[in-house]
Amino acid sequence: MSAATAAPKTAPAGRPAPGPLDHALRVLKAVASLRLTVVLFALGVALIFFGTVAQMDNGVWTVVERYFWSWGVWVPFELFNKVGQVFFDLPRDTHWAGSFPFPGGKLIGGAMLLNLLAAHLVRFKLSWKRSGILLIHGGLILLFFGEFTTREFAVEQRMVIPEGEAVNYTQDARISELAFVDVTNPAAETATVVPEAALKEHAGAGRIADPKLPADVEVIEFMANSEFVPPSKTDPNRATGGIGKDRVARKKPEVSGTDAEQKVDIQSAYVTLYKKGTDQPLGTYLVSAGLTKKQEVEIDGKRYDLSLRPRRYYKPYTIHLVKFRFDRYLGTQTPKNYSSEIIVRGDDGSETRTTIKMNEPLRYEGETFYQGGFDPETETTTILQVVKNPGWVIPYVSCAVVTLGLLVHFGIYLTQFLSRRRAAA
Amino acid sequence: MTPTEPNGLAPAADSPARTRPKLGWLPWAMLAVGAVYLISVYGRMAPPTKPADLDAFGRIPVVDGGRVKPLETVARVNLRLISQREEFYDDKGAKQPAIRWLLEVMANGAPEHKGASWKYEVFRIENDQLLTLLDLKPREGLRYSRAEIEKNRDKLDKRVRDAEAKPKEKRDLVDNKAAELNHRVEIFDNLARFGGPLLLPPQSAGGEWGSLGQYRMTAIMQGFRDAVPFAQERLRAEPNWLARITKEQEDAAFEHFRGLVPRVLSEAELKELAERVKPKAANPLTDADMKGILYRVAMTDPAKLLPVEERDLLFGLQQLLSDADRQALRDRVTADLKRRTDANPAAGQWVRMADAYRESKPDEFNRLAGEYRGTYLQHVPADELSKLNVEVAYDRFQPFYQCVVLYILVVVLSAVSWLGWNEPLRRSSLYLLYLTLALHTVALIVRMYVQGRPPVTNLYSSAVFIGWGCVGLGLVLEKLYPIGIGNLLAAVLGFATNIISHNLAASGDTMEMMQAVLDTNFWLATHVTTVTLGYTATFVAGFVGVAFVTRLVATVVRDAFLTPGTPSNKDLLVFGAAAAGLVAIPVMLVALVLKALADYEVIHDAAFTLLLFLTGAGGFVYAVTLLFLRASAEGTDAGGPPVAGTLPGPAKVLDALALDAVAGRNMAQMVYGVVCFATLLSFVGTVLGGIWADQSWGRFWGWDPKENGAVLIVLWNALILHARWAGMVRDRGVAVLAVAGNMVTAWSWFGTNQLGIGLHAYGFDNRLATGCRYFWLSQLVVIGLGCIPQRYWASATRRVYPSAPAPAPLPAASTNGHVVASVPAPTPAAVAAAPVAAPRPNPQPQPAGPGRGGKGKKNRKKR
Repeated sequence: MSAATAAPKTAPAGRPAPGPLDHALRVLKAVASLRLTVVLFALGVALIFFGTVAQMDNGVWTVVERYFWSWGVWVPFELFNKVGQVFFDLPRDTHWAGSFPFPGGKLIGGAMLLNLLAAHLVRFKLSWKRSGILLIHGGLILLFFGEFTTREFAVEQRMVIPEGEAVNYTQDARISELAFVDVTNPAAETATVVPEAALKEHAGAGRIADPKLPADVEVIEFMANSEFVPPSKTDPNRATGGIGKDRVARKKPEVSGTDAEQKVDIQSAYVTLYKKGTDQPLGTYLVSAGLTKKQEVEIDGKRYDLSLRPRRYYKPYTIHLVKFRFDRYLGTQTPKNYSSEIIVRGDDGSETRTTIKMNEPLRYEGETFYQGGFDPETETTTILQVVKNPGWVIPYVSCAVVTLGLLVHFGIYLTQFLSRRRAAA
Repeated sequence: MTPTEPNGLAPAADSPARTRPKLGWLPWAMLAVGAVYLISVYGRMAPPTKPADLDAFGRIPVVDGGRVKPLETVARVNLRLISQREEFYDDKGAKQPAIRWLLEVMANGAPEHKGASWKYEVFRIENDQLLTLLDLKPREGLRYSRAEIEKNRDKLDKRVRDAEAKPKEKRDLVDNKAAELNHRVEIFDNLARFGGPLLLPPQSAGGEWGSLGQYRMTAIMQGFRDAVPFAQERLRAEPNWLARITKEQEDAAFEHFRGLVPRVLSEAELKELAERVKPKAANPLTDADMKGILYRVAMTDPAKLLPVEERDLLFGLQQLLSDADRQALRDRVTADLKRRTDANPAAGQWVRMADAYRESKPDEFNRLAGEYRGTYLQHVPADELSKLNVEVAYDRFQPFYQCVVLYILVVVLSAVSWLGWNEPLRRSSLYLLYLTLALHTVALIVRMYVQGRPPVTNLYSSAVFIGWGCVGLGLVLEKLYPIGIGNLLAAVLGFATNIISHNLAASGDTMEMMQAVLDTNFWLATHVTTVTLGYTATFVAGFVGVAFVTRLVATVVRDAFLTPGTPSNKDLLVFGAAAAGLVAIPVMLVALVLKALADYEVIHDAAFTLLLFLTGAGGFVYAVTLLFLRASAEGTDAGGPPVAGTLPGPAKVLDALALDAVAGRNMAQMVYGVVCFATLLSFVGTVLGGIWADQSWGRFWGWDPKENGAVLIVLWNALILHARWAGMVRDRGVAVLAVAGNMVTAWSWFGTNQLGIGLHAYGFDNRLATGCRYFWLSQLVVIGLGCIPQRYWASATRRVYPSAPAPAPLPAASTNGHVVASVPAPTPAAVAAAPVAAPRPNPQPQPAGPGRGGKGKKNRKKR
């Protein structure tokens, strides 16, 4: 069996003088080496182990960024200490300093891909016996590709809908925007927004002036994460109006993934509004993602609701939440199911009534809606996770292909083995 | 070399020449012993029906943990939580079933009764600091009664309150153990108040189950509410009651009224009161003031009060009433509670049952229990009742415990089969394994039927299922290679996984309801089952690897003895390591068996330590003897032949164990085949998990620890296969890598779960972490032994054996360990087994030279 798959031990005897093509072939053969495959597997095993233990200290996304989606990573020795503390009763109040370099996921994965492609280039042979191997490896390449598409193109957003209301936008919980919502006309709210990137860019540097904005905006400070404190001598109040008059936002470091008390960053900013095209200040305001109360400002006789809110993406459809349900098992607090009964109204007037449950998402217009969460206080507001992943189908295909390949390959092996046994018996 | 060659290891098994093997009756006798054992367990499993019919009581359906189940299960789960076993010893020292304990607790466990259930020693307290805190002496079994704990309940309460005030990561072991014990006491008290399971069946079609405890509590509070005006009325009817009451009555009443005072008095009055009770004034309140307050509180309008305050008011009023009125109040409250309870007929019946049992009226109890089952369950859907009897039988038979018993028996038989009576004992093991596997399978099916789920739903069932898979796969291997390895492996893994599940069961009902996201039979059946089968196959491959290494080590020892000449220091070092390993591996196995016996409390902890020590010491003596014999190889027996180059007595047994080329190749084939299987299953399982994740939250791969653990197994198996294909490893290498696969799988199965809680819940059930530690260490030892250079066991790679091969069915009885001529036809093995007194190639000077490599290559090509 192994003869079919093993790296042919090149027998260099009787080879003519090597030309450049031979050198290229030799390099290719080196890259295609099965020994390299084994080494890469071992490195992969080690990397995944480190990346798992590292999650005791960091959030999963930080770890993915640092270990799995990187070329190289400095692995702290502390990881071994952590494992020792959990499994080998090492003292818990110690910390091991230092770290060592290790290839990251991109490097190992990329090398695996090269190794695999080279191996097939060098040893390509179409035969029944090798069909399984071809399928397995083809499927694996597809899997790599799928992970790449997901990584590059997938978008995850949320949709927060209170019962009885309809929403036509998704939000990005990690990115905010400064919004002026014209509330003069309650029938149709119109919002003008400044994206977070612009706020950051202009923080402490010039004004944002745009014809669409009702006022010119000067960003005094933008805080990626913040907390509220009462005004004091050390934290003087910079706001001259609105909600910011009785509290001060203070800058905080960004949240780490496993922080037990705080899960999301609270972005805040101080902005001064100027009458358009003039130096006439209209007041300095505190805006923050952590504030739920509305704050109104009056500009040129119009009233606006000024807020820093999660970035919105408006959609060509609205989703109306009829009912959110949180079912528990009888006599317990064990959740049995979460579900949202919704009506989807497309801009073409179509109307679909459906229920999104755990394990039963809705796929609509290239997006998928999952039951992501709910507001635990009221149990009447649903949070839908909205995912757009153009490559979502790839893993399904590659899984099927690899499985088929494994079945074929090991099946051939097993039949041979059994028939040889029978022949012997 | 291919497996098609007659392997010479069990030529007798299928050979017609051996239709009447020696001791042919033994396997059937063993099977009969196993069957008789199981039948006897079945016959004795039901609890007594006299005087009180515990059997009938145990079959009453209730709802607990979200599903309908018999009281039998409730009793066992709760007793296991409190006591870590499913039976108890009453105050006379007689063993009693869990259902009696539950009945006693319901009947007489309430504080107003403090009956027999308070005297049963069931609360297991292992922490000695906690024992000191409660002023208890360590005793055998470390179990204490509710009454003993009550003596120092205030200390326990204080410790728990103090611990709760600390942040979680600051709590120490005793804090956590105190909280745990407190929780167990609450379970007891709650059961005594008819709390816990929902005892009240639906009263109408489509109705819901209800808690009798809550129903009673509501009834009591309502009764109190109604009794307040009655008591106030009685007081009013007595014009001079304020003058009548004594100082003691006044104080007692005020105890209850204290909390009500601020509700009754105005703010200004309260302020004035506070002024007057300032410490400098000796007697701040005059009698008149006191009585004034007392009067106003006593006559408060109950409608303005909260239920708890009403209760305080009533208790205070009770102190103020005249004796006759007090009795009237009591009668009224009692009658009222009875009336309210009876409003729900099932509730009334429960209380009557408990009363009858407490008052030692077993006939009355039996009648009520029979009536209850006949009358009050008509609105429970029939399909929920249909499974009850099956579950009761499952509970009582304890199939997995019986499996452990049988698996241990098989382990012993298999181990002995290496010493002699090889084939009859191998067959005995095999037959017993079939029986045990059948039982294991039935038990799994019963669980699936009762839960309406695929086999694996939680960590407990994963252990049970992996055990089942290991046994099945072991038997397949035994069928393909009838050399006893598959049997041993099946039995060891079968019972080891049952020990794990036994320990996991301590945390509650093993058939619990599934959390929302897991509530899908489709994914449980596909992803979870496949992934656990992947674990199974990886473990099986790994343990064949362990067996390979064990035999390799035996080969090292044997070869060393058969090598003439003085051993160098290095040789002795390797020999010593091999001898130590040869002892260590069985000792680890014995340790596991002993641990199991200790876990099931078949032997005491002290006995566990003693037996383990004895085994270790015996092994040590054996290893030292071997080492001594080897070191003194140059000497001669007193007047006898030279020792060097022959196998001394104590090492004779190793001859059967030692590897030869065929056995080595066969076992490596086993490992390889199973690793292929494991790769397939773990890959498919892991990817199915990804697809499930995509289905439930839109993310195919999330890099979370459990996912990573699964993919590690896939990678490791792939590594083994590619390393073999690359020629980087051969038989031994594959075996050793497979042993490392055991470590990877243990990491994935249990290790990853420990990471999240490991650092934060100090000392809180760290059994799994400890288990992982010992398992990993043991596997490291095996891996280390497996790395002994090939030249020390070269005989196993040669096709002409330096000494006797180990033909499985043959007794190692001949004088110098050679095969006697009982093999019917000259098979290659038999030919090779010609006596070898003649000089044979010295296995020593064979560095990894071309000879070995060339041969290996040839072999590889041939495969």
